Amino acid sequence: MAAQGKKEHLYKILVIGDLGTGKTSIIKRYVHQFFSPHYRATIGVDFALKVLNWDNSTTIRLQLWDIAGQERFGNMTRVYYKEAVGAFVVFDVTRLSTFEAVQMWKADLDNKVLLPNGKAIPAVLLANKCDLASEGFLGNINQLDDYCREKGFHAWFETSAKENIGIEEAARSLVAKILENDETIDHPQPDGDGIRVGEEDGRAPKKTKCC
Amino acid sequence: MKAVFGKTIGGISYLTRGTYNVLTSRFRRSETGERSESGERAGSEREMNPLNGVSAVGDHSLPDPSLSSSNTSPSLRRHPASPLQEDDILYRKNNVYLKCRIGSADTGDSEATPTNGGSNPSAAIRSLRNLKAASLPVESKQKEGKVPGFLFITSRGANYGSTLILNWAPNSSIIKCSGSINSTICTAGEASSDHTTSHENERGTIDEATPQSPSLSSIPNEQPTSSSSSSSSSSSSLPATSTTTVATRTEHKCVSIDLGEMEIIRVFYHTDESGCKISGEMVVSSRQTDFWVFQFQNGGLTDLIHLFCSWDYFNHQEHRESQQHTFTIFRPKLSLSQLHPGEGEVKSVLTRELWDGLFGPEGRIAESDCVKKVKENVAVVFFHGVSPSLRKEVWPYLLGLYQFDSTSREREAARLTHCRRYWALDDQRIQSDESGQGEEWVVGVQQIDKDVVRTDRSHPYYKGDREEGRRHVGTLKHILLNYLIHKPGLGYCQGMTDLLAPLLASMENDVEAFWCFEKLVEGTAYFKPADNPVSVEKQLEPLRMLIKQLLPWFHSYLESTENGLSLMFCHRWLLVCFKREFSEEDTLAVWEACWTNYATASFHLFVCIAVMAIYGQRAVEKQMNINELMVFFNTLSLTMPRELVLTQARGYVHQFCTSKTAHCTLASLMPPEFWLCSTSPRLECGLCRGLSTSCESRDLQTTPMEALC
Repeated sequence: MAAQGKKEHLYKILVIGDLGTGKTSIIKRYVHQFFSPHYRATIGVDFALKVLNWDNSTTIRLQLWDIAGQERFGNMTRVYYKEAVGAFVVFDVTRLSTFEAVQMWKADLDNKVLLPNGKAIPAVLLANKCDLASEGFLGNINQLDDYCREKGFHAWFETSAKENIGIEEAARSLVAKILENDETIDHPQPDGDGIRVGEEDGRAPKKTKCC
Repeated sequence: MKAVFGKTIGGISYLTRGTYNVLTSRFRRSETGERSESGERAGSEREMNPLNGVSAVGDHSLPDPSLSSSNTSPSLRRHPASPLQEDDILYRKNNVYLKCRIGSADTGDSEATPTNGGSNPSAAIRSLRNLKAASLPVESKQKEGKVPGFLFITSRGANYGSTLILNWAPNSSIIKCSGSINSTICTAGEASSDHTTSHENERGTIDEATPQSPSLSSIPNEQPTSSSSSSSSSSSSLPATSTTTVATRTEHKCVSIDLGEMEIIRVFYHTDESGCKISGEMVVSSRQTDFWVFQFQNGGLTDLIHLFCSWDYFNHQEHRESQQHTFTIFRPKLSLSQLHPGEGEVKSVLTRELWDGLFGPEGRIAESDCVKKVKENVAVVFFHGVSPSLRKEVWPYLLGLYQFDSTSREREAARLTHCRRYWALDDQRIQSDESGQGEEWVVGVQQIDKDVVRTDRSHPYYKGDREEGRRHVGTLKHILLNYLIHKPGLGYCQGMTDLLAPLLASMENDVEAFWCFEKLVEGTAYFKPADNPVSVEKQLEPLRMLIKQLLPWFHSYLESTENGLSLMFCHRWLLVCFKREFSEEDTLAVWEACWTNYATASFHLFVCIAVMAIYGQRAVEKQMNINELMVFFNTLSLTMPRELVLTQARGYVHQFCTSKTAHCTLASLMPPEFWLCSTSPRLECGLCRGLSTSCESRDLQTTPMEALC
């Protein structure tokens, strides 16, 4: 193929989090630059495609998997996670329970999908509905830095699909991480990774760089 | 339309008829060729027509391009069953440049880029890359420079076979016509738009398709002999086979493309200050490796996009950032030749007249002919549904809330009991709200709160801008909360609001809606306690087995695809019974057919089968993996023609009932009487898990079903 010019990447990105945290709204804002308060509840999974002209030589197509907030199929959703290379985990800053569920979602993610080199896929935490943060529960939002480090999130962002805050930045951060991973996987270090996979028994490694 | 052309517009009539004569003869030829191979497994490269849905037309006289401007008929939303005729010109535009055309490829390499930088060259190149990363041989690429020509799009085919044909002829091939003809071109445009409107009104009935059934194409797993024998009777207007002929060699290189056979059309545009789409490119790509790039320099794109948006089988996505419209084409294919024998016997929906005629003096159906009468009425619903104004009366019967043989006094008593029990639940709910006890309750309330406000809000009954709408949303919430109390342990499941909302909107009564909802969740839906996902998995078993029996070609493809048999792509279909796949009205037709329990207790599974049958070949051809499969079936949402899907589903019910054997996991699809009365199909238990082979092929007539499984 005449690929002397541009590189093309297609990345599968998961968007997960509790029911009603605004996953679909974030995606619609990101892909269609549009917000509506009445998106229907997602049943199963929905899809959206975002094309990014990353730089002069790279086009990136993000296939966003908008996964229903109510997980009812247990292990069967493993199929949804297959071959994903990145994830957004979303919670609603006005509802503490959705934040508490973040750990569960992250654990589920790491349990169900890994990069080809055995590492956890990069995940970015989105604190959504930050336009309503005055009624939020997060007193000291800076603690999220520590939280991310501890739970193995690559980064976190305050977002608002309604006011279009933080979504582009969050996506850029995740894509940058994915590209970085892509390069190391394309040219794997002969040793390091292999050993770690063995050690960790196929589980996610402890930590990736955070923030 | 033909008549219109014949009478009023000599010049253009010659053009289009001539074109179609050529096309038609080629279609027929290629069709026969294809049919003879159609016994091959779907997906085999050999079965694909090498000619890729393209045909060349010879040197025909065309009207003076300088006079025709782009022109689209205003309202084109077509129902698949509406009888289309050939030759409707839906769009035309002069001076469209064919920038490049790249033919089928096998090996070799060269850069697959158009030679001329146009208004939006990077977009075209990008799209070429995106579409197929295949390497293309130099020979097959025809560097045409930038040839101006006349582009027009016509409709062709009737019923489910309707498609769009894109025709393009270089200006050099056009013979100037006299001025008198030019005026008649406008007539043609007007005539075709009139015609379109009339089709729209005839939102059709399936009956018209029935007589054609012998000539419908057959599914790939059928015997090649039988399918080829039927091909001689098929006409070019039929679907599934109409791939065509490549323009290999004519002097003027006219192009005619069956857009229904293409994969993706992308339209890139530039806008002026006022936002008008003034110029751009259209890239048409086939399912193989053919591309055509048409350049528009002087408007016409808005109408073109409008036309494509209005076409049922084109799935539309707009990417404003990259100034691009993408149309993915999902042309349905008839896959089953034998329709249900009851097809066509019933002509219309269940009307007030029919329904009221059922009931005798005591408000009950006379016992003597009760079974027969009920069956007749249920058949009407199965084939055509219920008239909207009757729904609130008929649904409680269909869902089993009332028995058909009850008297009006008995029903009144039942209604009172229902009310009492429901109001008791109301009281309990208010208490729970006040005490705020229990985490499960709090979570349930929260989730329901989130979901009710985003369910069917475009439906007039729930429209948010009116006080009434908000009140109805509140009722929805109360019913669901009451249901949580009524069925402790189940919990709220997403999708419940989707099932309940139409019930409440039709019943307009919370008590009846509640009890109907209860029946619905019990009977057809897949809602189970969240801690028991196994049951969901288990409920897919009959569907898997049904695919194996009715669509063996699709089953073996799924089997060979990693996680294919997880059937994750049909979970949404089952969970909310196709509510997200069809429009509101179409969904209700599917639901009503399912609720009748006519011929089968699991009609929804046959609807799944129909969708897989109609669209699955594309998946097999492209050897999609499970990811692609999920995206593919998800994208079909709202593009599927309801009547086609339902007709095929009914046909598969019939096929199932007339097959020789059925696996024992399928016993639940039919009522017990069915297995006891019929000699075919017999239930076979040989493959039952955990059973010895000794139970193989035992006949139900001697053994009750439960003993077998």
